[in-house]
Amino acid sequence: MKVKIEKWLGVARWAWDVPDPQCVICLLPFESPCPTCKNPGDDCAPIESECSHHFHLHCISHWTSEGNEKCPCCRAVFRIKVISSEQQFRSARA
Amino acid sequence: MSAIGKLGKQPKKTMVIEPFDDIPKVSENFADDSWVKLEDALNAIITASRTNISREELYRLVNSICVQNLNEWLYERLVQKLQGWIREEIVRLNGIQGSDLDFLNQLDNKWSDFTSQVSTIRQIFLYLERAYMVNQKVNKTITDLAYNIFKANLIENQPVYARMINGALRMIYEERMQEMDHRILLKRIIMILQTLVIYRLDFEQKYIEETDKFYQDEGLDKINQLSVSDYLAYVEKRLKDESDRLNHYLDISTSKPTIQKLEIRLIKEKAEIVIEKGLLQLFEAYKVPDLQRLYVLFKRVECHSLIESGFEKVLLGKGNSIVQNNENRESVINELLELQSKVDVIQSQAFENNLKIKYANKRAWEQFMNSKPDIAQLLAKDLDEHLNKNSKIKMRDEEFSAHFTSIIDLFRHVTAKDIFEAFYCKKLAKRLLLDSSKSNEAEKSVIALLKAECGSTFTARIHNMYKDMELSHTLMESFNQTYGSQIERTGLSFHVWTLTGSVWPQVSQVKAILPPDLKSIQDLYTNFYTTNIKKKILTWQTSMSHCNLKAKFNSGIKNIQVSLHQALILLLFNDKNVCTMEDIMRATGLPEEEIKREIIPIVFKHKILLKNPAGKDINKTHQFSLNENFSSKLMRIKVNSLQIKETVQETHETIEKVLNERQYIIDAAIVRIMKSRKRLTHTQLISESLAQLPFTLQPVDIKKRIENLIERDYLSRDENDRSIYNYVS
Ligand SMILES: [Zn+2]
Ligand SMILES: [Zn+2]
Ligand SMILES: [Zn+2]
Repeated sequence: MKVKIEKWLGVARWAWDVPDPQCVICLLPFESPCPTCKNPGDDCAPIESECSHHFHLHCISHWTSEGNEKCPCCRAVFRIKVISSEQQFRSARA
Repeated sequence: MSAIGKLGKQPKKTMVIEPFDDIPKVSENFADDSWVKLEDALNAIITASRTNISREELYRLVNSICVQNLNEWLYERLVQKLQGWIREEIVRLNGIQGSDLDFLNQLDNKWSDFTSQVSTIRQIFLYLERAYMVNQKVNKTITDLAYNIFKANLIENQPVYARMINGALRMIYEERMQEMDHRILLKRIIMILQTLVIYRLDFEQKYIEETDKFYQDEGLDKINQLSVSDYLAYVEKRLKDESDRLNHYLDISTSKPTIQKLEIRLIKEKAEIVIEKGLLQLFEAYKVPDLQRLYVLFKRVECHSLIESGFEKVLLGKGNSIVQNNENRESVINELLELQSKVDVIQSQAFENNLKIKYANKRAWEQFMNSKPDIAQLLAKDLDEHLNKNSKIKMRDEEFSAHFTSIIDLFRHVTAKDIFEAFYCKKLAKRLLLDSSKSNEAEKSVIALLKAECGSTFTARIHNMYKDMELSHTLMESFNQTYGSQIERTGLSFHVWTLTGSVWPQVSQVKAILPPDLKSIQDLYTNFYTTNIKKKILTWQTSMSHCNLKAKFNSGIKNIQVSLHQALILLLFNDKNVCTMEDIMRATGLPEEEIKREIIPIVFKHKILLKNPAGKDINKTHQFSLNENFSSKLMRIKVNSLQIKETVQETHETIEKVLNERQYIIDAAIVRIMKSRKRLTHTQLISESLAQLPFTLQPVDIKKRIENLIERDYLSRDENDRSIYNYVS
């Protein structure tokens, strides 16, 4: 062995694994946060509804807080499918 | 003080008038006899000869005549006598030969004799003045009487009068032309004019007209003959000369109108030529005192606006010539910095920080700084060169911070802030991931400046990058809790930067094939991440990855710092002594161009690999082998890959990405506007969108997005009027 790696600094990028390219409410891609947030990432994660549509967590919360009960996309009754990945990450570490 | 006032202010001779004990006896011919004596005395005063009669006696004679109620009689005789005398004096002045200067000198002498003669006469006739003239006559004093007779005769005798006035003007002309000093004489002559109250009447207006004419001619000559710099100095000197003259011997009332003439002829009328001909010249020669002179002179006549537009034009020309210069893009930023610092000095030292000039300056910068799209990129690059520890720039800390402030001052004028941000983040990413930042403190200071300039939204992405760096450590700790010992067994230290995809700049998507041992470590992490974190996918960026190697040479073991791609190339030589370019491509899965970029420094700069055949060019059949005889004084060798340098394609991709992101921002703005307004005409929607968007756009860019939004059913065209859009809720 003439050459050997001692130390390796790898670089990996994560992206949301979401089929919709953008949030139907604010039109921004999920890589960006919703219009009210500065930071992309777990704080402003995409949320999947039971009808398999995706929204920024904050966008859909705002939508439902205005008294809407249906999915803004397909008008099915809105229900969240999964909990946010941030919470999952935390619980996995705990 | 007016000339009339001066008449009354003759030096006061205090004479005590003593009452007589008894009225003296008077003979019949007393008055006539007395006049004979008085006339003798007057003749003696006029001819400056002696008389035997004492002043006191003469005074008593006047007194005696007056008490006999012969005031008027005596007054008439005195007037007649003065008339005759003064008329002759004026005639004599008319006969003076020689130059104007001779004439004025003699006039001056004559006048000074005359005033003292009048004063003597007054002493003798003082009783008449007090007892009679003060109450009954227009000329209330003997002095007034004599001066008015002098004045009337002077005016009547046109040649003398004209010679006096024109002579004085001529002397002033000589002073202006030859800088001859007639000041003392002129002061006295002007005093005569003032005393006789003819200064205003016949001198002042002529003087102002002459001055006007003089500077009309001279100004025209000078502006044609002199450089602007010399012309300004000339104007300043002339203004000083003339105001000295005014202060020294002219009446205060003449000052303002005279100076105004100069200002009009020398500054106002020449202002445009001065700006046209000289502003650029003075600016290029960086003549701050001259520019200050120009500003001060122009300010006197309220011609600032010419400086504003002129300065704007000059800056636009200078700026464009720097920005548009395609030959040497490397020096653009330094030239702009130099221009900026010159402008700062001129604005503060020459233009007194005039606000309107500052606005003009700002307009110019905003125009030329945005006339070439790569300025934003060059600014970001400059900051990187100053923040990178690999840079060769040597500065003291305070010089660095001054430099950063200047760069931000330039950046202020750039509208493509998003392009700057993209390049800045790209460079920052490299500094952070390659650990090549000079100092954390310097990084933070630049971020603080950017935040102050553009707000926290602008720097949010940068903060998120730093946040990812921290979060990566947390993730790594968690990973090591489970897999740490497993990694340790491989004898390799492993760290992963886990980056938020949307925050970090895109890099080339080349995918390298990893050797099995590295691949299994990478898979371990991928597995750890995706099982713990749902809804996220991980992509490895081999082109941003780095390694420390240990390599055995004949001279001993060396530590080598390389990129992962370089490491992959070097690892191939553990199994094979010689690899062709094609072998390397096959084994690493990297494209030829990428391998060339990575291998060039290894081969040519550090000579860790040998190339066969030798030579700078590399093709697919060329062979490489490990240089067993490699030696270096250093234990630790750092191989900078060309990866650090931005490739043309990368630059293009970065800009492309910014333009793509702009689409989302435009879409969001249009939808936001339509959501609140519901219904708008095409023109209204375009102009409202343009007003809301932070970057420079053409209406056609917005129109494209509107059409796209119509296709996606966010908007619709009105059925009756196709130029109106409705919001689709
Ligand atoms: Zn949203
Ligand atoms: Zn949000
Ligand atoms: Zn739905």
